[in-house]
Amino acid sequence: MEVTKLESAGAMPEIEVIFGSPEFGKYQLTLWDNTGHNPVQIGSGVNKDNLPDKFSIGNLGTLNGRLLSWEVIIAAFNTEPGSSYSVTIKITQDSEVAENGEFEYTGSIDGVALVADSVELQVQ
Amino acid sequence: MIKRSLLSLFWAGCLWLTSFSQSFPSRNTSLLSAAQQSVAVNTEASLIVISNALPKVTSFSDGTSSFVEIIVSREPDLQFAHLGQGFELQRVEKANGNWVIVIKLQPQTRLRLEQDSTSDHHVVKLLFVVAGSVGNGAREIAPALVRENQNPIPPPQANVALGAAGERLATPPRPAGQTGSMPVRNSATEGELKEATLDLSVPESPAFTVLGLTPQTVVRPTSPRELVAALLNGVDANGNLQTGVALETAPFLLWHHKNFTLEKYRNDRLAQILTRTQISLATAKGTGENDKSVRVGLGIHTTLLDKGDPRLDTDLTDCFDKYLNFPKRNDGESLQEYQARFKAQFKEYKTLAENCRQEAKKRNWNRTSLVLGFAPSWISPKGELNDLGWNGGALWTSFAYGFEQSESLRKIAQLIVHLRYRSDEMVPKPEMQNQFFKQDSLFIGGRLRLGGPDFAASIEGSTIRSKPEGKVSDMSYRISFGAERRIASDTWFQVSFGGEGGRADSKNKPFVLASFKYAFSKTPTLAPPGTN
Repeated sequence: MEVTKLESAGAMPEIEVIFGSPEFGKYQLTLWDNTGHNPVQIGSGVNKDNLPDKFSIGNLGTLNGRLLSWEVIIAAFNTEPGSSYSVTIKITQDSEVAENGEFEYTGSIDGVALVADSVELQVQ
Repeated sequence: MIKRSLLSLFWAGCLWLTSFSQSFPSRNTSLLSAAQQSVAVNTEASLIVISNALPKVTSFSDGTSSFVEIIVSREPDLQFAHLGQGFELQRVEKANGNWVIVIKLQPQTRLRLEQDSTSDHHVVKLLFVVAGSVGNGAREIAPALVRENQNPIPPPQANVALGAAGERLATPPRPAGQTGSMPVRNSATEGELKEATLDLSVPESPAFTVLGLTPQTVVRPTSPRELVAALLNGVDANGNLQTGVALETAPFLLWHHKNFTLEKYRNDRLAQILTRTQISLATAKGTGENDKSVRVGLGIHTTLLDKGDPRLDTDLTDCFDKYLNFPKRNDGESLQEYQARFKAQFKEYKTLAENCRQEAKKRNWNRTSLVLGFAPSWISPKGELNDLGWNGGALWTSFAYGFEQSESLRKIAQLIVHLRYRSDEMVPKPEMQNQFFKQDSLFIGGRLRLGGPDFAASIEGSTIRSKPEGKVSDMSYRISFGAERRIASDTWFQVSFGGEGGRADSKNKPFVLASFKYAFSKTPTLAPPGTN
């Protein structure tokens, strides 16, 4: 599992979901304990609205060792061959991308595409 | 006369319906054995192609005879019945890694097609029926009966040169083109196919169409780097053009695939056009066996207006949002377990999303749209990049009007006007192998279509002006009416009639065609998509 490093002296970290292709997208963001249990949803949304897809992850003091996960559903409006998707997850602190805090997923869509991934947060 | 013909066909259809359960392979039995049994009891001439790869079936004409070509990537099992009655086997050969079977239809022979698949085998059954006899209810291989999700008969984009024969239903658009060694293809067999509906669509890959190709593999780059690599593969280090290149891409998305959001799309009219503009590129060898020339086609397909654009359909977005939901978390479930369960729902999500898209198609099938296609082509006699010369081109445009202003028509009616122009097209000379002449042609066609769950009708007309090089121009027209009505859940009664005139070959004639149809899908032929 990837490890994203956060500065203990920094501001409260945030996570942002960016859909880079004009297809339908829906996501949820979850914080887990360091064993991968006891989930707490910290955000969810779709790309059909104008609402920001950026959420606070939580207080730095409680984040060290915890797991942060995201699941994304992308649905193509058309099903012609060659349709592709792009989703980027950014974990930021003080408006800067945290170390090892950017994750990009691209590929072709077979009607729908699913993304599921997670990182361990390390506060240093 | 017409009434008598219809009554005869109606009676024949009834007889056929009563024996239907005996002659049609059961879905629950082994496909292989069902096909074999069917041959055993069938007195019609037939050819069965069985393979564990999906066969691709196309039909074409060389101007005098009609042919069927079956291409399959694995060695097929061929079973004949009454070879020589209605058809001749022209060749079976392995070419470019595929098995190619070419069949020539004898005059006055109708071709019917059955297809089915299991997880292990794909079966294509061709039935050859001498005109006047009654078939056993298989699907006729006519463009009008080509349906979505069935093995495609390519649209006859080259048929401008040969008349209005064999044009297929305009919707839905599908990748176009033909395949094989002959440079100009007509997807229609003669006779009954002339009664088929017109093809009023713009080919999605004009480059393939202008060269008369159906590429087995199309390269679709997903990044600018891949595009450049694909282009470089088209020319070797010495500047020699490579044949067999088939490339298709939407360049705008290629360069903006990481930062072009749905919101930007919805708010930017120009971006909508650019997003729906596709470029295609293809190369093919010359027309003769020892011909070293290489032909190059470049195609542009763009949608300038589409009031049924699914990306602008907020109901479709809402449908996705409503049905594509994340699974609920179970007590004590770990992150890994949850994400594994989420990924396992892929097929379910795919089905749900497809249902939403189908609903959107029902809503938007007839919305006003304007589509344009353009494809110049070049030829290099020596196959070199630096001696490319003009080799003609093609232009297609279709305007569809959806009667959005009329409450009574906006859900059931569509008017399509289509124009296509082809310059310097290489057309096979009748009865002369590998002999061609150049021709310019202009096709203008239109269709008014009305459709409902149990009834569909269309009226259409077209005119073609062709100008062979060094000869006087020829102009012909065609008008037809077609209707079909559901008489049982899977059975439709179809009737069409019309006529053509002005043909230089004096083959003008009226036609009447009536038939029953049992379709693999439960959709009508004439009706627009989504109205059943």
